[in-house]
Amino acid sequence: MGKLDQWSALFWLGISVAICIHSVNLGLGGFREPGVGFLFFWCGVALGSLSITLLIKTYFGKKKDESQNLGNLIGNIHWFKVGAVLMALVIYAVTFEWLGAILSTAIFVAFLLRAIEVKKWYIVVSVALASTLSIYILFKILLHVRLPAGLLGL
Amino acid sequence: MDTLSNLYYGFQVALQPINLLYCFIGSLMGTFIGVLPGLGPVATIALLLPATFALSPVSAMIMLSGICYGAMYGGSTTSIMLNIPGEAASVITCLDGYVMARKGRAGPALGISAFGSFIAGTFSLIGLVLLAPPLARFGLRFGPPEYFSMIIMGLTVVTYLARTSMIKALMMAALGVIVGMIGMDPNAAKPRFTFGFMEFYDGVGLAPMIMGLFGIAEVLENVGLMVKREVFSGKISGLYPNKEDWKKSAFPITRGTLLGFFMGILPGIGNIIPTFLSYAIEKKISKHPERFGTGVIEGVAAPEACNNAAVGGTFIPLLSLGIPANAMTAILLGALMIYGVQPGPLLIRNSPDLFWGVIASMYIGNMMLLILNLPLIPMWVQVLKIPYSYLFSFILLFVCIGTYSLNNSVADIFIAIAFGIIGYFFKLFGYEAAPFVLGFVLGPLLETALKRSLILSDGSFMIFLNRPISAFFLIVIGVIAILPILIRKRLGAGLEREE
Repeated sequence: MGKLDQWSALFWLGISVAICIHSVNLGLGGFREPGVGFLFFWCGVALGSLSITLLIKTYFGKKKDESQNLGNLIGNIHWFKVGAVLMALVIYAVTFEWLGAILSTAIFVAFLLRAIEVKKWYIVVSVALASTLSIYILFKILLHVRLPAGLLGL
Repeated sequence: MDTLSNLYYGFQVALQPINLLYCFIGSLMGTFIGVLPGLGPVATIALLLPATFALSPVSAMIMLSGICYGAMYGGSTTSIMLNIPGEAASVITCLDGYVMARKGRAGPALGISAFGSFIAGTFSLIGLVLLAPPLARFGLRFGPPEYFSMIIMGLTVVTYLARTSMIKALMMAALGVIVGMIGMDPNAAKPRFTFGFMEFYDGVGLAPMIMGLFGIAEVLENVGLMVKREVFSGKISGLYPNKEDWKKSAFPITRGTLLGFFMGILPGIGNIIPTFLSYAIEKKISKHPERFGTGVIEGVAAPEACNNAAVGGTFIPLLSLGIPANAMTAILLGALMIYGVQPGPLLIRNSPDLFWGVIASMYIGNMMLLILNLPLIPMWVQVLKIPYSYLFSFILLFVCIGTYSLNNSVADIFIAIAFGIIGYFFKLFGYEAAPFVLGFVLGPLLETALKRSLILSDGSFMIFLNRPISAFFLIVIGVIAILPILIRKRLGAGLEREE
């Protein structure tokens, strides 16, 4: 985890600096009367200090298994599938109110089963319809959740 | 006598038909989720949280509690049948449980697991009834400095027991505190770290955050790796342990129960570490330690009793002090706040129906699980055959629509997606989500306690040392900080090597 830890430590160090700067802008106050950004600042300092400690530890510490590096991480994961699921989620969220819960859900499930899992079309259609129906029954009918009607007006 | 009359009142609440129904639903859902690898009780509670907002706080907590201990029952089924733990606390059951199943003794393994869990659950509830009220009375002596020190102690213990790096766990706790404080400052009414988004004025929602962090992140991890599973197709017969099995299991169940319960009380311990310890202890004291791992019933009985007892133990600090012991109870704490119930030492006094009703329902739920689980094992085995390729789309639907239902806002879905991405990268880079969740839930409480303490002491930090209870917590923090250097081995890190 050495190289990965170094990269992540640098990332969190950057985040902690940004947090500290923003906290100062909010106002730290004093110990007698802590300001709005008081605990944010000190948590940011803690995060930054720990990031530096991790960085030092991974850089100067015992060399452990170096097989876990960024290259291996990229190579061992189906990034296409992960990216496709995320893209589908974002599009689902964007179209949820416009297309409506029913239509967007059916399209979402169909995409996941076809693009990610590469299932046959009859399976895709039947599972998409079944999922949509069960979600509709569970949320709209049983739990009385208001779902957007969208284009179909359902 | 007070305790008995309160418990009687609790049973009156729990035995109301509507609460019985939700207890049943929670226990069944918990078992179902415990059976399914890849979706633990924490993620389940996260997914079902929006559905509970329509219920009364008592019914909601009864159902959510049912999920907690139901998952312990269910997790053992996959450990024994599939050699894959349904949830983390059932990891150790794989070692002997699966071997027993391979040898045609799946029935007794499943049976002793269910009975042992029931016995342990019963004992832990007795302990909960006896210990929680006096602890709550003790908690009334806590002021802001004591709360501040106790929260810091809780966060420190969690990070000490982290299964990966302690430094990374501390980083996650600090980050969780920061994210938990996002929103309007309660005193100055000034937005903090909202970046102009009105959706963050009330803070980051607990439900979208945990649904993303546990639900979506889990799916992304599984989709990215895609490991094919094999289902054990042997026939299950003879679900009941014989006399010899009981003779061998009696003391392990007792030891596991005591260990799980008392360790579960301690913040940060949860139920995973006690189960590993329980197995290690049984192996150490056994006359034939070499047999562990070859299918001995003690190797199933002790850890299964332990993990169920620990669930009861974790409820003690939650219900009596309002301090969660692990990620699961942290979410329950958040849920209590969402329901408008103020957790803390006054919970017993202000909401006795909730306190005693939940305790009584846990006993009823354990009984339901014992009666239902054994005959339902063939059904759970069928559930295991649901391909993950269908399951993950359902999980994502649940997350999206569940988060939308909170405020009828698409923004909540985006928050869940964002935390799903964050949670996924946490997993990839070896950061644990539990300290983050704990920090998130405790962050606002920590800030309030700190500010009040400093105002009380006119800016002096000595207030945390001058008050004995607070000083005690700080000493514990100091000991935890020094221990890794002294013994060169952490409890949690040891677990990684065991695996």
